[in-house]
Amino acid sequence: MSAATTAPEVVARTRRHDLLGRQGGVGTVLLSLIVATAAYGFFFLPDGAGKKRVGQPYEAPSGAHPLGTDDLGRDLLNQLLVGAGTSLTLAFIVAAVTTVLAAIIGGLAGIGPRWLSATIMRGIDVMLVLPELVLFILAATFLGQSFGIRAAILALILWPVPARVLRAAVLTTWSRAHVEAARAMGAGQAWLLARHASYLLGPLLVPVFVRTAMRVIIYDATLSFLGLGDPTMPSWGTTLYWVQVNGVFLSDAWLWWAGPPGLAITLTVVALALIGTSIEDRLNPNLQESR
Amino acid sequence: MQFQGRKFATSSVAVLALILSACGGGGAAPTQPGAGKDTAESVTIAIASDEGTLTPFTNQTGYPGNNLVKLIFDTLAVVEGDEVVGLLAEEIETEDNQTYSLPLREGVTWHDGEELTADDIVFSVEFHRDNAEGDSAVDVSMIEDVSANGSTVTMVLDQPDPEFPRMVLADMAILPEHLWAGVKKVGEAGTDLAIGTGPYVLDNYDNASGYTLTANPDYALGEVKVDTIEVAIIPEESTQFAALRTGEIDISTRIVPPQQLEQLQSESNIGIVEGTEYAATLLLFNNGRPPFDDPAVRRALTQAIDTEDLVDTALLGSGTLGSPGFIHPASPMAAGDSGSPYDVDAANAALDELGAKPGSDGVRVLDGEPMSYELLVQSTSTDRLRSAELIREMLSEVGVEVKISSMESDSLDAKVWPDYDVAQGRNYDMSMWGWSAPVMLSSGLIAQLLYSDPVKGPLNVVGFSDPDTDAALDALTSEETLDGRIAAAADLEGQVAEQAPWVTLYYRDGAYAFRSDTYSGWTWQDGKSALHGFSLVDYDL
Repeated sequence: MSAATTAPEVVARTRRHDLLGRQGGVGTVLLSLIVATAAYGFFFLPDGAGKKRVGQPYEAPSGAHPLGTDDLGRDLLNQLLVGAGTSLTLAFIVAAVTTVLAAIIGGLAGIGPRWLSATIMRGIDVMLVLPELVLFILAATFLGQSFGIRAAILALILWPVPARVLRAAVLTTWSRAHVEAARAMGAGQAWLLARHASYLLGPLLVPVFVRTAMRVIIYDATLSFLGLGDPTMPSWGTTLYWVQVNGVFLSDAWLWWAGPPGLAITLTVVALALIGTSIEDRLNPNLQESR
Repeated sequence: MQFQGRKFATSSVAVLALILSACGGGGAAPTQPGAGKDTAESVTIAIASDEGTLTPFTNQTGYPGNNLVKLIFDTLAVVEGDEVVGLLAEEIETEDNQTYSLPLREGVTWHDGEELTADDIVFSVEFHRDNAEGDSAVDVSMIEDVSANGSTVTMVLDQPDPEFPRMVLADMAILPEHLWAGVKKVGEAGTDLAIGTGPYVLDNYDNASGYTLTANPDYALGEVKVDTIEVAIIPEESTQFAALRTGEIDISTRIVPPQQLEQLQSESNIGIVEGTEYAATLLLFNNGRPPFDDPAVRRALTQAIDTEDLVDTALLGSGTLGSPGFIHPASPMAAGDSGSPYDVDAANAALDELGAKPGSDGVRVLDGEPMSYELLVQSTSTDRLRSAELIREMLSEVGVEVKISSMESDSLDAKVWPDYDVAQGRNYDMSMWGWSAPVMLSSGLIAQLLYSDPVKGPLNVVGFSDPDTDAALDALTSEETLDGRIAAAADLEGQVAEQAPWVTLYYRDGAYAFRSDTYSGWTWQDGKSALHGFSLVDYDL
């Protein structure tokens, strides 16, 4: 990263001004492109794009259908564009809900009474022991596959890790000299949080959000690929599910059928990872101090 | 009942074979005559899951479990092509379809060397009556009296039943009295009880790796063509077909997915045996919920659905168009080809006439409600998912909006057929559905689909109710001859087409792939697909 500086405080400050760095910048550009694509699919494509048949089944790429058509004769490029919207919407909704959940629960565990903290932490330990993907597959099998249910399941399964991180951050913040001083002078919890801790804790929510979004993209694609998503709703994972059902990997069609959604998933995850790690590098007090 | 019949997996395949024998022509002919390999030392069959100890009470599925059991246990009769012919019985004699006289063949022995007697048959009937358990339970309750006189068995039914030879004689496994007489819990029968008179002897069983069956050296009814059958358990469909390609297995008991059919066909050492499966795929309307309680609405929606397009696109052509009267055109009960009712203009005109005017978003409004309905579909059935998507598109052409809800099949069953009891009602607008072949092929089961009274119509999952149809059903089930039933079934088909309680979309074709370089004697038998005695034995009947 940036050149070594003598005083850690200064390092932190310069890093905070340059929140993203080069790798974060690359990630942001990538993500913006993907979001723009999704927005195009959402706002400019006609209703039912990717769901309506427009050609013969199994068409190879052509001028009219740059990525060919699927087994029903529907445009694969449209499905990719519409699928971007589905995948990103799910990712951002779940990430927002998870971040809020993690902040509340992690915060309570950090500053709440000891019994509450212990209960929450042991609960989190239990949840961490359970394999997420298996849990997710079970829940999706029994609870249903609609968009709302999938979002709820993901949010409920993904909050423990960030909650733990945020609790640690709250504890660190609470032991800072200026917070202790304020507390000694009789400041209440709410005041401490609003006036003295929020500027330290708030930015930490950004990497939590970004990392959760990244995991949602992967999990959702995994589930859809296994047929546990909604196989009638265009999304990247759904396209890959139908690729597998139709045995497309045995023919050349994988190149334009499986390749683009696979690449899209990879690029999105890479973009989010770049942003997430670079922000976290700069904001997480633990990481800073270990330098 | 979903997916080839859950409850009806009970004896579904075997019963099906029985019922089916009268099915004229529909795929009964063996395809892909084996070039060369008429016999083999060893053949490996892949099945998807463990089938227990392979006694008639412990197999887990109708197909392929019951098929394997029937290689070990013979039946009195067997369906050959379109005919029911005697197997253990030399012939089936009846004057009135009520009293059946069955002289047994001589020289038949059990796998342990004991001789088969007429008393074994009497014992078997009584044992099946007392122990109607397991996936493939046979209903023998209509047999009022069974007696043995020398080597002839006589069965008297409570009323004439022309379908009895198919339904019972060709499905009921005959048990050795000297081994089974003391058995109390049939569900726990071990491999030591898997002793029949059939062409194969169960040699080895391991619930993880599978079974070894060896040819019965003393088989009296014909010549066994394959010396050893290894049955391998391979759960994953794709793994089975990969194993078939490498020659690890010699036949897969799973239907080849239409998408892979062409590719497998093009491989030189792989053969395909094809035929009609007789299971029907339907689009159900909840007849109890407006506007589906109006036959005119149901008819109009039926006219909007292009079943030919579904077969061509979702099944890639490997299926038969649904008959408006439900019964498969190749079935003996079929009234003949009445053609597809598909006609978009007529559908639009009918909806206009009902007063359903298109709203601002193009969706019609009927009686103040937008014509927008939920369509349930099983998320694990790829052809039904694709069909549901196509139906959504077809109905949008006539101004009806469809919202697809894909769900796990148990959840779907709970909405369409809660607790498998139609008296509990139902909670859906439209749903994709399937009935297994026996349901279509037995007049008694067809009646159960349509009777408005839940007691007489335990399969009426659409909540259909129509007095004229009830009368047609009474006429059908009281007919005492097969010809009479066929004529009555034709009337019924007309009623069903007129009332459109559901849309019969298509019947999938069966296609099974085997290694022709190992053994190519596999033939198609309706209701049993390729895994049955005629594929493995040169019968001398």
